[in-house]
Amino acid sequence: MPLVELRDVEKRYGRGAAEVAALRGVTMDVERGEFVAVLGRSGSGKSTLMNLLAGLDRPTSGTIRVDGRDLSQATPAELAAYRARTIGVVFQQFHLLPGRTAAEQVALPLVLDETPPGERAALVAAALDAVGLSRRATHVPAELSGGEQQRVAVARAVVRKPPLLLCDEPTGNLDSVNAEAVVDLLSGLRARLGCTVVMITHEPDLADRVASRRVRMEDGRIAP
Amino acid sequence: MRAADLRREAWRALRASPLRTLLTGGGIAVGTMALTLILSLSLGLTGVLAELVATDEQLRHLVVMPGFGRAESRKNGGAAPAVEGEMSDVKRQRLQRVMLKRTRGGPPFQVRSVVIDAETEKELSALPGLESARPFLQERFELSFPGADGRNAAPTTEKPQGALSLAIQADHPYYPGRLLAGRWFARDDEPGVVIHEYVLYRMGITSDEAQAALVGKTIRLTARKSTAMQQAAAMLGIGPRGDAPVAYTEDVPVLGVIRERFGMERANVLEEAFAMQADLFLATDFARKLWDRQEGRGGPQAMLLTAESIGDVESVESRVGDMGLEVRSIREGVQAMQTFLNVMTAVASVLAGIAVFVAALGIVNTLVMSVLERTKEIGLLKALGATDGDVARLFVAEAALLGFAGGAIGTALGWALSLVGDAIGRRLIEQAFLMPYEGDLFRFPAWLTFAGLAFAVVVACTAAIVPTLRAARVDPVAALRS
Ligand SMILES: Nc1ncnc2c1ncn2[C@@H]1O[C@H](COP(=O)(O)OP(=O)(O)O)[C@@H](O)[C@H]1O
Ligand SMILES: [Mg+2]
Repeated sequence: MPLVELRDVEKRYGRGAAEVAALRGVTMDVERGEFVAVLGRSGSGKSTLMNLLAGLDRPTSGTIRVDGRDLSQATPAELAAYRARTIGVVFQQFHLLPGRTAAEQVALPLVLDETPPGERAALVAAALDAVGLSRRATHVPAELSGGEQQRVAVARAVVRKPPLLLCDEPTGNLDSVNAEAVVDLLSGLRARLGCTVVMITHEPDLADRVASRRVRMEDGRIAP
Repeated sequence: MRAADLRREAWRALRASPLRTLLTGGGIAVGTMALTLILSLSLGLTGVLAELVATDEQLRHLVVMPGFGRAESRKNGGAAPAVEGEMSDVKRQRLQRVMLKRTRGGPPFQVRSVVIDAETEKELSALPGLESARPFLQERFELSFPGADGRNAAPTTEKPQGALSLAIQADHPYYPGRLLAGRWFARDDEPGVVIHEYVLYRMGITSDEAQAALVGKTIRLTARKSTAMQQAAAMLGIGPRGDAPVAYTEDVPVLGVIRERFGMERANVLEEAFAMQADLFLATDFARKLWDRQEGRGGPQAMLLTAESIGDVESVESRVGDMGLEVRSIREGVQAMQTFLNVMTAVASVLAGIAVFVAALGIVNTLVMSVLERTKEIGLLKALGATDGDVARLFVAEAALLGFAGGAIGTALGWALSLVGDAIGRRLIEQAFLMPYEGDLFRFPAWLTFAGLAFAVVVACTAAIVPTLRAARVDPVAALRS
């Protein structure tokens, strides 16, 4: 059974004349252990797809199954639990919280998940170690470079060892050297943690570098 | 989220904008302070009132004095008196009001025609619903020390000193507490006087030692013949002239020396109206014996009636009024004072409530700002697995912490100010009455501390409802895209 199954997923924003069809029937499977790179022009629906996969939004029609669970039927509480346990998310803008140390950023999913305080430090240390930032644990975002900030965000995404890692243009705000370092990191984590990665990117070179499969989106559909 | 994590996150959010937190928390603190302070004062004053009345016995008391007979307004149950003649309605009403007003206090320049004679006294004692009836006997004496006979080392005075006596029972709850020397009466028929330090001063006995040495010595009471008119005058402190013939003299021992009652001291309020001018006190039965030594004087100047229950006071009051006598009780006065105090407390509480309401608006504002500023953070928390409930709890915790801190500071300030207010009020009372004041002005019981704190937290959490709902409803997709 594939980890992710998308069947005829449609997503429309707005109503009537203002209606925008962001996804027009997406059917796709992602197998366990895959590293899928999603490419496509701006506005083609990549982020919309990602938000649906992340359980942050619901499809207008169609079904999304992750790990056998139908997200379109899940209650809000089930979706929150899904976001906490099944996925990790990385964004283009890092979305680190100002004024908190790297260790505190990484601990956030553990706080939300009610992980006993005694178990948190070890998990945080392991995650920071996995992204090579053990020595930056007490630094706040303002004291970190862009590449380091994104690596903290990656550590935050994997601290609970989720089976599915979702990254929406994680290299969009990084120079090429840092971009390569981050995708290499994602690739390494996939191997080390045995997780599945879906990554959106603009750059075919990066996709070639790490992806096991490339998917191209065009106008709300998967291009053949 | 765990409680400890919630607390830490709330604290972090408040610390992120210290000035805003300080101002908002300050608002809550001031509101809580005002409220606890007002409640503290109200509790204290209610206590003072309760102590002043001391027992419900005083509420059952009535004082009966000679009256002007049955007034027109009393006869027809307080209805408007008839005004004859042709006139406008406005003028008629005006005149009716004048008549009501004038008859209530008795007609002017008219002698109180209904006195308390032996007959009336019996009638009063037999009224239904009455527990006891005690006469107030006030009498005018001239005081002197028969020092020349060798029994007495007390100073002889050149001029006899005029003094007003009042009869008080031996088992009185308050008078013995005011003794400066000697003792109070052991029995109601004990011959002797308890004398006021002021009349001794007027007689030239000034030092504490001289005053104490007087106890056990003999004092001479000289009574002059007086008429009913002169008795009435005696009540106003205008005694019979020294040229009236002497009715009798009586030599009695000085049992004790007493001082004045001041301001807030416990007292029987109705009795005090008579005791105010008293220079010396006699035991009731002994006083009656002296009183009866002059013939044809009629009954006492006043009677103190005690109703069987507070509920009987009103009916006794109207019966006595029907006898044409003047009657007063403090039941209505105390009730009016209590009502006044309650109204004052309510008004002050409303004002303090407005302060708390304004503070609550401050909290609403702070939290709305906080939600707006942290929209992105809320979106991220949701993306990391926070439920709507988690987000709501974060903001409620922030408000509750603000309320708790503000409430704690406010309650502490309220308590501190109640101590200051108590000290200042005490000093003012002591300056006014020249007496140490034992009672409370402000009371700050433990429950008020908890109530102040709980109230601040509840207000803060209530203020958090709307901002919290906004926070919980943040759409993570929109929040993260911006
Ligand atoms: N909340 C929204 N309301 C209306 N239109 C939206 C909304 N989100 C995305 N869209 C539209 O949907 C289309 C797909 O957007 P998106 O998935 O963000 O594209 P991509 O990530 O590939 O650049 C775009 O035309 C965009 O304008
Ligand atoms: Mg996008």
